[in-house]
Amino acid sequence: MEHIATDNDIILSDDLPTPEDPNFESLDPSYVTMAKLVTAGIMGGVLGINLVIQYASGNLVQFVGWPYAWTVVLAIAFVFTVALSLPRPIWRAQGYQLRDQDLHFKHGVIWHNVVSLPYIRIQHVELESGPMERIFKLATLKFFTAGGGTADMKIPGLPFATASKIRAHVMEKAGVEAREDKLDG
Amino acid sequence: MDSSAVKGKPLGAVNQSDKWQRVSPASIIYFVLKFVSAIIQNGIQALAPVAAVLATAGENRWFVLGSIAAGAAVVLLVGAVLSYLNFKFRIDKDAVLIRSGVLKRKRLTLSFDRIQNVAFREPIYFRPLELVILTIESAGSTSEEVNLAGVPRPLAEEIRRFVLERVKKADANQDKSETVAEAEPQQGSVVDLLRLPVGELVRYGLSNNNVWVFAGIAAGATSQLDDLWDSAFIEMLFDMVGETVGTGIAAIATFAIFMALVILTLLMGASIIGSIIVNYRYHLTYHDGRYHRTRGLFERQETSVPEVKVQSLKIAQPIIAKLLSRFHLTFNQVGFEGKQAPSKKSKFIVPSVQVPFYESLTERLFESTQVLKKPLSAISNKFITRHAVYSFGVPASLVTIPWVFNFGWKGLFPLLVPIVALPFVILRKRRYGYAMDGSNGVVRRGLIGHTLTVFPFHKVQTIKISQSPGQRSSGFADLKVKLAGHSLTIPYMKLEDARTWRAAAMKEVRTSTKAWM
Repeated sequence: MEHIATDNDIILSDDLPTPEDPNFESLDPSYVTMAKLVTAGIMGGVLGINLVIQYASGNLVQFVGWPYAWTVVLAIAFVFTVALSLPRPIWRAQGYQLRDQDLHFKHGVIWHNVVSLPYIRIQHVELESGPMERIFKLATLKFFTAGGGTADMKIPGLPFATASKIRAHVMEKAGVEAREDKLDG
Repeated sequence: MDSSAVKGKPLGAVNQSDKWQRVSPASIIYFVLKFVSAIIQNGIQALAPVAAVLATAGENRWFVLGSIAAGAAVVLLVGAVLSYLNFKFRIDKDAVLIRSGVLKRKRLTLSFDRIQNVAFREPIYFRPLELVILTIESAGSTSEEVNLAGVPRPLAEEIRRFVLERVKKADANQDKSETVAEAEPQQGSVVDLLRLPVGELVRYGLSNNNVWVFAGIAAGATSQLDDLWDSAFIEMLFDMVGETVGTGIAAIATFAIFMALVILTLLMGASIIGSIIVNYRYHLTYHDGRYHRTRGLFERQETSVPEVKVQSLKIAQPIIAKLLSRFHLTFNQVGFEGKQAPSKKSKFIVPSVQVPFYESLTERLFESTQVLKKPLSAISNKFITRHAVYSFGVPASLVTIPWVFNFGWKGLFPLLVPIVALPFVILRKRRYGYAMDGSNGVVRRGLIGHTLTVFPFHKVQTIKISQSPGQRSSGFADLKVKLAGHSLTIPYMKLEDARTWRAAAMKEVRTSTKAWM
């Protein structure tokens, strides 16, 4: 999609390149599967609870006899299909680029965003892996600067090993620069 | 400890690092006032039982009231004396240590590398005794702020010098490279930058937007008085107005306008008085890498900010300031977004200055940058289309559809909103402007008044470029620059400009050897 016009080299480009932009590394494909499962789980849960409530209150029996019942079923199927088709384009739009001095993350299907973060501005890095992420051996990296309370950059869907590798690399970069450049974080 | 003793043995007081010291006994006044203000701020409801006692006490009312007051006074005084006795401080070779608290003991260690600032305040009750409140602000949170109340001025100055020297050393140890702003040739000489006469303070009072803040508070206060609006008072007021000016629409309208003007004048008066109280004898100097500010009528405040900690300079010209051709400057320091707004103390404002002053101050702050003299680039006209259509048009249409069904042609009324909003969107678009000189950027925004923000690229934390589908096809982008403490957004700037800004910022961050905080 775009080329960031600074003059340092791209490193660590061993993962799958996204079709749109060979400069950005894409997130792990299993992230899509995980996102689909989570979406399906949430929607299925909501639907299931609803079914139980309707069954308990006796509405379900009437519903089966209702002439337009199939439209509702179709609508639900449609919503499921749409929701489950979203994670892939979202995944395709995401990507990161590690360079000698800075780090970039792009995201957004309709609105394209690119966040750029110089290593020496990083105050700390968090590696997070929730229960679902652990099943898929994935992790989320969060980068914090002095800019505010929330993470300035969040890279989800990284294989655990890659995430640790990036974290170590970035911290080394940030740390080395910090001592040279009077950062006390 | 009286001040002459301190003068007699320079650094003696602060060098005895193993000894805990007390502040002056006069600090009891400070503690009393602190308790009183804490009660007023947090626990005015706690006074309800007192009211209940009074209501039921019958004839003994005054006796009961007197007893309660006397009891409270004794408790306050004892509390203040104990607070004074338990408040001790010590200045170590690398930290300021504080012990305080009567019931809940508190120990605080504030290491020099985290000290952001050392400020003085001189409340009116300390002035005859030549005592000050020394405030040590840390880079962390406000809860780690330390107030040493009742320190003799010479000792306070010594502590400040001592602490700041240590801070500098702590910095120097971390920083082995050569160019730190604090080590600039101005060392030693004090540069007199600005003194404000009362006339300027009046201008500031008129033109800062505090009038609207006061108006908001007043409106909030009156709307609380629901009973008042329902009461006979308002009816009486209307009757009175009717009697004096007549009952015609014109007369009532004239009266309303007149009243509005009176209220506005009163608010302006309040704002002017506030400005004079806070900023009386405003004096700004530069010395040894720091900006010092002294101001205040009842309470002299001395604040200083190291120039390396200034993340950006805000040059604001609100609508009335435009008529007076004045600008109000704010040094934006490191702070945190999202949490509570930075305290007033951390807002370092230079009120009511003119163009040559802010130009020279900008040059002084950011390595004689000429970025303010550069012509500003405008943003795209598509900004207008986007907001007219998406921010106002679409919501208005969505509201209109059900309204038309319910109210007939009157339901079309919301469609006027985008039309009314359009001039404001156009004004807003026109205010936006940006320029850069490779190492510094300036962004202008506003509606009727405007604000210029100047920042050095090497202090940038992150940069974000966003593009909507429309922006992608027309080659524009939104640029968000995040500095430590706040962020700036330039909407609808040319994509190539956005990329140039990003590249410049990344390059400056990478190559600059200057400290950013």
